[in-house]
Amino acid sequence: MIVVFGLAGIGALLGGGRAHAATTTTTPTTPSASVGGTLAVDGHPVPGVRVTASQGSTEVGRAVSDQRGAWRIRVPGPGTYKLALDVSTLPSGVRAERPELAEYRVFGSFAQSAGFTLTSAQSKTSGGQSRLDQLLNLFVSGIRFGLIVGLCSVGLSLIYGTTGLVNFAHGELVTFGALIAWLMNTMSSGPRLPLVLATIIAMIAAGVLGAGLELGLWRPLVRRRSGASGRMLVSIGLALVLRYIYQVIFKGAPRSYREYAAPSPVKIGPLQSPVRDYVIMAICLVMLLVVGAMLRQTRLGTAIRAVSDERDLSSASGINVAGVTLVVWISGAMLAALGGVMLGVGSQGVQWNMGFRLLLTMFAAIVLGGLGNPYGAMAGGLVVGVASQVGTYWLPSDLQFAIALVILILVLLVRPQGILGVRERIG
Amino acid sequence: MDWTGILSDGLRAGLGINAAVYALAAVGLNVQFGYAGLWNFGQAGFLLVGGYGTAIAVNSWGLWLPWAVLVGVAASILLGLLLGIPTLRLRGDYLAIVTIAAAEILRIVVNSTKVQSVTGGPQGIGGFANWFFDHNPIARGRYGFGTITYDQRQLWVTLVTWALVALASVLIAMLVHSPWGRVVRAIREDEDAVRSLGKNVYSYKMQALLIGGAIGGIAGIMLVFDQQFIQPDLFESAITFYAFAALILGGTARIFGPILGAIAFWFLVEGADSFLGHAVDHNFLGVGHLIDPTQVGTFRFVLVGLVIMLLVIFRPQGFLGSRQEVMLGEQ
Repeated sequence: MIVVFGLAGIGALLGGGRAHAATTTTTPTTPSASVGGTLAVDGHPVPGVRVTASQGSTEVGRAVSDQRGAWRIRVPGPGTYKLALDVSTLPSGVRAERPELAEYRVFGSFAQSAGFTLTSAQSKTSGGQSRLDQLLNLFVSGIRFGLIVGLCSVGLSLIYGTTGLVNFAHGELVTFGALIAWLMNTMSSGPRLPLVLATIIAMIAAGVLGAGLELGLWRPLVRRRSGASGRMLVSIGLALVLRYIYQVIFKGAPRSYREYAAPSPVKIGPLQSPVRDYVIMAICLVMLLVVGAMLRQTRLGTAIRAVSDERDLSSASGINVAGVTLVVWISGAMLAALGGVMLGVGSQGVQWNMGFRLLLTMFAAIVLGGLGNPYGAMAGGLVVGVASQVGTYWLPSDLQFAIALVILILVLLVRPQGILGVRERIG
Repeated sequence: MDWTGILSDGLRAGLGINAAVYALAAVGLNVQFGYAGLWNFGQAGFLLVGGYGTAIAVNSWGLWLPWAVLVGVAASILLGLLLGIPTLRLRGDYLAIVTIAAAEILRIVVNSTKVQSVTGGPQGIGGFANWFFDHNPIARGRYGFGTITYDQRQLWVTLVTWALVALASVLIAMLVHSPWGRVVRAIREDEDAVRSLGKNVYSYKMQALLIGGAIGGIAGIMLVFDQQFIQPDLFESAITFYAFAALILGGTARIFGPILGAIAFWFLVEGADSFLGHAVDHNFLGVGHLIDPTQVGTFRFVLVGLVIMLLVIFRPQGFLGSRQEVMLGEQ
């Protein structure tokens, strides 16, 4: 089951401020009052669903969701409306958790969003599964999510370890990979390559981006003796710039890849997942094992761990710290890009802010595992992934992400250095 | 191109309620980050509990609004305690990550359908600040100069918020020039040195976190008073980043830094928005070919991001800060 929030009220924060600006000025670009959203189930858009808005018993507007699941209704102005989703227009096997939002408030002349939660029959609410089976299935999807989180956050952790930068723009590297792969694979005017090839191109592009960022931004900043906190703020600015450029180019709605979009689940014992999901898990696991082995076995890996442990001493003992940092940026960005594609292939879909939404989960993973420790990122990712998925067995799935963060805070209380962290690291 | 229109759009926002709310949030951050060196990345969470505390106290418990405001402030102080107890003994990065995580948890939880009967879920709560607007002493009409005018309702909430900004700033000025302020600033520079002088560093940090958090809670209350409405989307983590941007723009560890920064930030944001809107309409410098009218709002964020980056890179001390005192500049 996937909760889908409407995407139209992007930046509702600054948008909230706009409400007043719009009433006092007549900026021609300001849209009139409207409410809209995106309907999707398990990451796939649901077209052809009718939504109506009414005040009292009078209908004031209606819309039908388009190919991307998006719908938007223009309403006369601020006020309270009843939004209703026509359940008879839903595809079979899909149902709405709450088909009616009885008192939806429109509070200004701008585009607002409303979310309807759709559930598919294949989700955990499906009948016929015993409780144990449901838990098992959630556990497996938690492992899959955790492996993806681990893959995405190894780079974040290594970058922190080698440079001391808490990189708030790491989520945008994840999105970058998924979007480049989408351009190469799905966009109608693009080359429409097979996804495997598109993923490889996306990883190479992300590697180039990572190298560019290190050489063009971070290295000069370190040379200017900019502190760790200053660089953290620069990464926040960079994340904003990249994220909203993605939104300009790719618009708001989630998309899926041309291939592997809607596979049918295969039953193996009590487990019910499409083969695709097992392939995703295998790819992530293999990549993580390869990274782990490289860190342990190769000279480069030893150098990375040395720089991560003690930068100055490594430099003094002849390790090319600048080179190691560059390698870390390139490989971290490539892993993040691969993780992004894996996330996009799975239930989430490809979206301009998918990496940003994952950012706090990645932070949770690396803090949980021990800041700066790449194995910790993997372990932390698994813990966060499994906990957030299995937790939805007892709690509503819109709290899924909160569960991961609560676990993070709880672990920090008992073991501030993280699961695999070294005590001295917390300083 | 209507340059005066663009300028007055910017100025109206720079003096308006949003700038005042951000100034208040940034004054709180200034205590925590500017003076005490605490990385509170969850200021949005303090605004949220302040706003929701007040709204729920009126809506569910039927409290008189002034008491409800106290509930909101108490809630943000409580949040500060909950966050500070586990993290203030750890290195700064941990406070940053835990606070931002807590702010997100709060936003997700109030959005959840489980608590919809109390928080209104995604639909939020409205109409709880009637008492505040019923006591508006300003007669009906439009007030202002030139094209920058506000109606009596906007003017009332804006004036009250700016007055709170002034009050908070005076209090902070007195605090930081007292022995307390010297200890807190010394902690920012070297914790161990202060500890060796027998000061309880943990307790001082906690006090700074709570004072800043309470001011953040008041900012949240004024934000939702203005809207007469509260909903989870108002408290995206972006609010923290923008408050930080405003603070750094003005200059950290300066009394007027956050105020000047918030005015400049909103002048830039709305001015840029207005400029882009006009530029697209008149196809100024060929902008109309590049940007779709519907994307103006999005481009504004790109601009904000760029300004944050350039500022921290080229002028980390902001307008008013001194290079020596700003920790951003040091290695």
